[in-house]
Formats: sequence, structure tokens, C-alpha cells
Amino acid sequence: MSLLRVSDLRVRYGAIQAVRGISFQVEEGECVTILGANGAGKSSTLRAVAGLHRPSGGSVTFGSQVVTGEPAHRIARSGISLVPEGRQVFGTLTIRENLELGGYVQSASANGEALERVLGIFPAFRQRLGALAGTLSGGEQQMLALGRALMTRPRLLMMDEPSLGLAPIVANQIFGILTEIVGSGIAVLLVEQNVHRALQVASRGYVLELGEVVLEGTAASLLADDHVRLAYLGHGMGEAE
Amino acid sequence: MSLRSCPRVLAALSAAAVVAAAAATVSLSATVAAASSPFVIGFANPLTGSEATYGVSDEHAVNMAASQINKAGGIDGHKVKIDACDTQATPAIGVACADSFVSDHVNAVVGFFNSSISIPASGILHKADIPMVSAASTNPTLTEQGFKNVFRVCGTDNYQGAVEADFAYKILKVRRVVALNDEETYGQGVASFFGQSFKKLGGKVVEDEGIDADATDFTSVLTQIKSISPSVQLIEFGGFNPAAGLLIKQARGLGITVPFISDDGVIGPLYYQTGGQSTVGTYLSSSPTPQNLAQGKDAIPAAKTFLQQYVKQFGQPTEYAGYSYEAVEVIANAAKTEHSIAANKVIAGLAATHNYRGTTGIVDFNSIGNNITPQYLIYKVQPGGGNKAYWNPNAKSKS
Amino acid sequence: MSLQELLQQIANGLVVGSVYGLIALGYTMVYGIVRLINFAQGGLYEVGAYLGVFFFTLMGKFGLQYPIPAVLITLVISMTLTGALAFVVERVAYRPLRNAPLLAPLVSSLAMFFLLISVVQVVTGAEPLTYPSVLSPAPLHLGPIVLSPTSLIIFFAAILLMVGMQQFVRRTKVGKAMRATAANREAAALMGINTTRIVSLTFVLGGAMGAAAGILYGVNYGTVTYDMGEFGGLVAFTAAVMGGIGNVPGALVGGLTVGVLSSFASTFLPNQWNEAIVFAILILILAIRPQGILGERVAERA
Ligand SMILES: Nc1ncnc2c1ncn2[C@@H]1O[C@H](COP(=O)(O)OP(=O)(O)O)[C@@H](O)[C@H]1O
Ligand SMILES: [Mg+2]
Repeated sequence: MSLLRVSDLRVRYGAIQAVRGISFQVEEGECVTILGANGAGKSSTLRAVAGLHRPSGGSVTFGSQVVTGEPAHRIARSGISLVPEGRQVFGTLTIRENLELGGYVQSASANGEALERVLGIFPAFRQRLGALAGTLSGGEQQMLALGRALMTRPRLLMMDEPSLGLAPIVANQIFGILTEIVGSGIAVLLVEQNVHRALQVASRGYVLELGEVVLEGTAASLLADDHVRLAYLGHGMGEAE
Repeated sequence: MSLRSCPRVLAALSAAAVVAAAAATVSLSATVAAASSPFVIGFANPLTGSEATYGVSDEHAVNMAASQINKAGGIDGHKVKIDACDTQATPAIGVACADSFVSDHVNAVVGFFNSSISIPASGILHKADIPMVSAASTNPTLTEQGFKNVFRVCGTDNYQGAVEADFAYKILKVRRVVALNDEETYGQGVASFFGQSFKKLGGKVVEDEGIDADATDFTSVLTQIKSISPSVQLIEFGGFNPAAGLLIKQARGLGITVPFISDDGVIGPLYYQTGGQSTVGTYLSSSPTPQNLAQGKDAIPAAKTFLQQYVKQFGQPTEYAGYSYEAVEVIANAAKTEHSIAANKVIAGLAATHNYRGTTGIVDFNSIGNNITPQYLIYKVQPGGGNKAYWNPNAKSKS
Repeated sequence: MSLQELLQQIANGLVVGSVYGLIALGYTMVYGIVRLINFAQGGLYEVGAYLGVFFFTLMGKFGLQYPIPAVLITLVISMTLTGALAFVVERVAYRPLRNAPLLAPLVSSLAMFFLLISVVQVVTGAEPLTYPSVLSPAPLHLGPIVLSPTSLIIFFAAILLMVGMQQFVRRTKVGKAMRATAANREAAALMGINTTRIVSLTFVLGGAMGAAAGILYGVNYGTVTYDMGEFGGLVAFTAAVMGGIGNVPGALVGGLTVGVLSSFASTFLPNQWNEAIVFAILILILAIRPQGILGERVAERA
């Protein structure tokens, strides 16, 4: 049985139908990517799964539980972590407080261990635990948001455009860490505009257009797909990288 | 017909019923008048609300006076009938009482307790030529409007301020004082007459200031007073509670220890409740209570009788009950001496009232209808909050 | 003005200001979380004061003579009940409107304020009620300053409560959740924080602080009136804005500043001007430093 099963998910904002009945799965330990142009409905999908926005139809099953329409804090407690678009760190709180809040649902001692583990992944924060998150650079905020999401050891980590607005070198770092995370056995659902990189990390992908899944397949098959190459990779057939 | 319009129909029906009943009453009273018409005294007081304790006690006194007069044969055969109206201490409602007295053709009125009601109501009764005797309204304006029909058996605020000044100057022997008031008609009146009289005696009012009656923090103004305190020997306050209690409490809290004197508006349990221990030893000027008038070597015989009879029926009377009783007696006396219950005759009889000895002492109306021999006492607040009569300006001997 | 009078006026202002600061804490905490000026706070302050009289008198009847335990028990009971009332206020006046345009919850909180005050007026018959005097009125001399023991205790109790609340928000797990919710409500929910409950809790704590202020005020002045919530609410709102609305230490700073300013103002102007002065201060702050003394500029948050 899949870890996450989304079927016929619909999201609407008033009259606007942002997601029009999509279905996809993420298996235990698998990294899946959702690709699509701006406005395709990727964020809406992640937000609906995370409980930030109530879906107007369809169902979301996590493990053996149907979590459709549950409030965000319940879904978070069930083991789904979302690193939202635009990082959303707590700017007026310190790095330490941001990380501790990531482990809000667990005991203080578990949180202490988690902090050590996360600082192992992001050693640069160790010296700056007292700094306000609002004073960090975009890349650092992304790392902090990721670290915060990892504090609970989620069963599913969802990331919404982690490389958005970052210098390539920083984006590289993020993808490096992401690869490690996937390697550690945590399932990842990744939304990215950087299709090339996304398909390098992910094993499968879905292509979303105007709120509908127009294509799905393994990373390799998507990389080879003409439509994907034309629309998202910016080059035509046969052109090797 | 929809259900919604039912209440309106009901209202119309009940209005019709009231009109019919009223018509019946009118015709009924007309037939009685032929035999021996009653002498109707309109009585307006706060009978509900926060001042009802006073109002109801006054009502008992007025009823007591009426039944005693009636037992003794009435006024030349006319039975005295009390027509009570509740002012709720609210001017609009009190004025409506006056209107109803006019339409009921009452022979005289005792009321309206609050000066703020007595003053506008007196205008209405003046137009209708109905004699009015106030038992508790002490604002000077009431009798200064040139209305021939208006009298009062109680004292006036200026006289009260003068008694306070006398006491401060002659008994406490202070020479430099601060006079505060709550900027309302009553308090301002007492404080300004206090100041005027005190200056006339030769004293000095160092500061004269209004404070906000609704405020609760007076530490600013008190700190100012304290900064000039070596030269201030007494603080006078014209106003009400809780301002007075708060004022003295905060003054003592700031270490201001000079004597404090306040007025009639302040005397009562609320003063001690708000001011607590700090009020002990402060002075209050007030009309004497029926209890005060009935005790001591200056005791008034009529006051003793009144108190005994009142206590037997109703328990302890409040401050103005004796005056209310007196008001009815004075009206009856005026009608008796003129041998008429006609309004103009009763007014003439009241204007001629001199040296009338009643429950509160002597009643002697001057040309504008003020009683020129009002009583005011200075009380001293006792531990536990009781008030003890401390000085009587009318008594020859110092107590 | 002599130096002694100056110091005394400052001391007077600090005592009153500490009470305003406590009320302001309620405004500022709620604003910090939901960006709403909860005008009901003035009413909660008043209800707390009245509940205080009730329980304080009740305890006197049961023979609890010792003032300090009586005040403490009264504080705890009234703060709890007022907190519960604030919980209801949030449910009724805020929650159904949380996705409505900002003006809607603002107006409904104002309606709540008038409702609370009217209820007090009707229940008590608009009569002022008095707190039993608990401490000796003998003044304490602190150098050139003279204060009643009660005002001194009130001042320290108010400061203690404010500092305590600040520490609660800074250090405890729930406090951190409150700050996280204030900083970014969605992100807080993603951390597993039940933000709906945090909003409730914030209203409850704000109401409890208001009640504490009401009781301390009552114990200090001895009298509570049904319209105390109007002036108190207004001054405290000014204090909250002055300190920087949404900023917890700002409530304390704002309260003390407004207290001292109005203490000076009423030495130069008759105290009928009090309300006008408070409004003038409010307008000045909004014009000169809208973010308040300790407030960050809103732009920094966006
Ligand atoms: N809060 C919102 N209110 C109204 N429309 C929205 C909202 N969020 C997103 N949309 C609309 O929904 C569609 C999908 O948006 P989104 O899920 O953010 O796309 P993506 O993340 O793929 O760029 C877009 O047309 C967008 O304008
Ligand atoms: Mg998006």
C-alpha cells in the first residue's frame, strides 16, 4: 500500500478551479516530483494535502488513515511535513526557537536529540542559534525551513520550490541535502520549477497543467519525453546535455 | 390578520380601557367633591432606584402626617389624600410627575427631592398656580426664580457652605484652606459659598479647583495641594460620593493629614465604604437627621414624638423624613389659618408662615420662600463609619 | 514644580500606569496573534473588577480576614472566570468572522465591549460598588515620595504579572507556540500547533490580565463603577499603541509612560481634560511614531 494516496483531488478558490481532480501516489521512501508551469496548481495540491486548504473534492489517504479535510496541525502530527513556498520561517524568533518549534509535537528530550541531528545536517547554524531567523539570507532561511521540517523525522516531507530565488550554488547545496534525505529513507514529494534537478533526485514524476495531470512516469521516461523537454527543459529532441 | 399585528391591537384595546377607566375616575371624584372634597397633596420623590431609600422613608413620613391630620378631623373637614409619584431621580420622569399633578388638579405638592427635578418642576406648578413645598431640594436657584408658589422647609447649599466656613474658622481655627468641588450644581454651590463665607470671616482660600466627579484618581491634584501643604490647613470638598471617599483616601495615602470637611451629598455609608479608615475624623455638614433632632439637651419636642411614632411603624427614618413630615404639616397649617383650600389662599397662608414650631425646629419663610432658620450640623466620622453630631451652629453652648 | 512634587507625580503616574499596562497587555497579545484590536478588553477589565468585588466581599463573609490571601484568592477566581468570558468572546465575536474583512471583527469586538458594560450596568443597577479597605491607609515614606501601602503593592503586583506573562511567552513551550502563531499562523499550524486553540488561549490570557488589572484598580481606589471600562479601556489602548501594539514588553512601557504623562497633564489642566489628553497622546503617537516605542515597523514584517 502506498504511503500517500491522493485520488481525484479538487481545490477551488471561489470560482477558480485550481486543481481539477488529480490522482497520484507516493510510496514509502520514494521521491516523487510534481512538475508544471506557474499557476498549474502545484502549491494548491501540496497545501491541500497538508491541510492548509480544505479540498473541494477527492480524498487524501496517508498510511492507513484518510486525512482529507483534517486541520493542518493534525496532519502535521500524523507525520507529514511541508516546507512551504517562500520558506515561511518565524522571522521574529531565533534559529533555535524555529528548530524547537519544528519538534513542537515531541517531548523535550526527543527534541534535544533531534536538534543535534539537524545541526549535524546544517552545521552552520550551530554557532548562530540565537540569531533571529528574519536576519538570515534566502538560502539560509530555506535551510532553516528544511531543518525545522526534519526535527520530527517525518514519514513524508513535502517541499514547495525549495530552489526558488536562490543562487545556483545555494540551490546545489539544497539538492545535495535533499538527496541525502531521500537516501535516509524519508519519502519526499517535491515541487520544482527546476525540472532537470528535480528529475535527478526523484524516481517518478507527474506533470500538471491547468490543474490536471497531463503526464506521469518514471524520471527517466519524463526526461526523455518530448513534451517535457519542450515545455520545461527548454530544448528539443535529441539534444543531449 | 397576521399574528404580528396582535400586540398592536392589544395595545389599542388597553389604551381604550385606560381612557374609559380614567373617565370613570373623573366622574367618580366629581361626585365625591360634592360631599366633601379631599385635600390632595401630590408627593413626588425617587421611590425606585438608587435613591429610593430616602424617597420611601419620606413617603412613610408624608403618609403618617396625612393620617394624623385626618384623624384630627382633616383640614376643616377635607381629608388629606396623598397622590404619590415616582421620579426615579430622573428629571424627565420628575417633570412628568409635575404634569400629572397639574392634570389631577392637586391642591398642593410636596417634592421633588432632587434639586435637578424641583427646579424645572417648579416652573410647571408655577404656571398652574399650585403651591409647592420642597423638603429636600437645597439648591438656591429653586427659590430664586421669582415663583410665589414655591417654598422649602430644608436649608440651602449656601447656608450649608456658610456653616462649614464658620466651623472651620471659629472652631478648627484654620485660616488657609483649599476648596474643591465636583463641578456639578450642588457641589459647586456648597464649595463656592464656603469660600465666600470663609473669606468674609477673614480667612484665605489658597486654591479653588474643580475635579472630575467621574474620575477615580485624584493623586495629581492632591500632590499639588501637598506641595503647598505647609500653608494649607484644611481641605473642603463640595460634591458627592464616591469622589469624596476616594479623595480623602488618596489624600491620606499621600501623607496629607490636614482636616477634611465635606457636605450633605457625602454623608452616608458609601463615604466610609469608599474612604475606609481615612474618613475617620473628617467632618461633614448636613441637615440634622430626625434622630439628631430628637436627642440631647437641644432636643425638639415635636421631633421626639415624630421619631417615636415613625420608628414604631417603619423603623429608622432617613435624613429628610422629618422635613417631609414638616412640609405636609406646614401646608395643612396654611390652609387651616386661611380657612380655605383654594390654591391662592394656601400660597398666601404659606407665605405668612412665621415661627411655626414643628418636627425640625422653627419654620419661618422669607419673601422668596426659604426657611430662614434651617438647621445644619457638623458631624464627625467615627471609627466604624458612624457619624456623630459634633457642632451645632444654632446651639448656644459648644458641644 | 518642585523636585519633590515632580518625583511624586512620577510615582503617582507609575502606579496608575502599571494598571493600564496590564490591560494593555490584553490588547497587545490578541493583536499580536490575530491582528485585531479587541475592544472587548475594556469590558473584560470591568467585569473582572466587579467579579473581584463580589468574591472579595464573599470571602469577608466567610471570615477570611487576612487581606493578602483574600486578594490572591479573589485574583485567581476572578481571572479564571473573566478568562472564561474572554473565551466566549472569542467564540462569539471573533471566530465566526476571522475570514471576514478586518472591519467586521473590529465592530463585533466593539459591540462586545458595550454589551459587557451594559450587563454590568443592568446587574449592578449602575451603582458604584466598593472594595473593602484591606490595608492601613498610613502612608509610606520612600525618600521624598509618599505612597499608600496599597498603591505600592498594586504597582509591584502589576509589574510582577506583566513580567511573568512576558517570561511565559518567552520561555515556555506554549509561549513559543504563541509567538510562532503570531509570526506566521500557517507555518505554526504546519509545526503541529493547534493555532485555533492558541488564539483562544490568547484571548483567555488577555482577559485574565484585564481582570487582574480591574481587581488591582479596585483594591487601590476602593470603588468600581460601571463605566470604568470606558476610560480604562481607552487609556490602555493608547498605552498599547504607545508601547508598540503586538509587543508584550511594549505594553508595560506604554502603560507606565501613559500613566506618567497623564499624571503630569492633570497637574497643568483640570482633570476633566483627561480623556482629551489621552486622545491627544494617541493622535500624536500615530502621527510621529505609529509603530510605538518598542514596535517594529510593519514593513519589516512583510
Ligand atoms: N489564495 C488564492 N486565491 C485565489 N486563487 C488562488 C489562490 N492561490 C492560488 N490561486 C490560483 O490557483 C491557481 C493555482 O495556483 P498555485 O497552486 O499557486 O499554482 P503553482 O503553485 O503551480 O504555481 C492559479 O491560477 C492561482 O492564481
Ligand atoms: Mg506555487
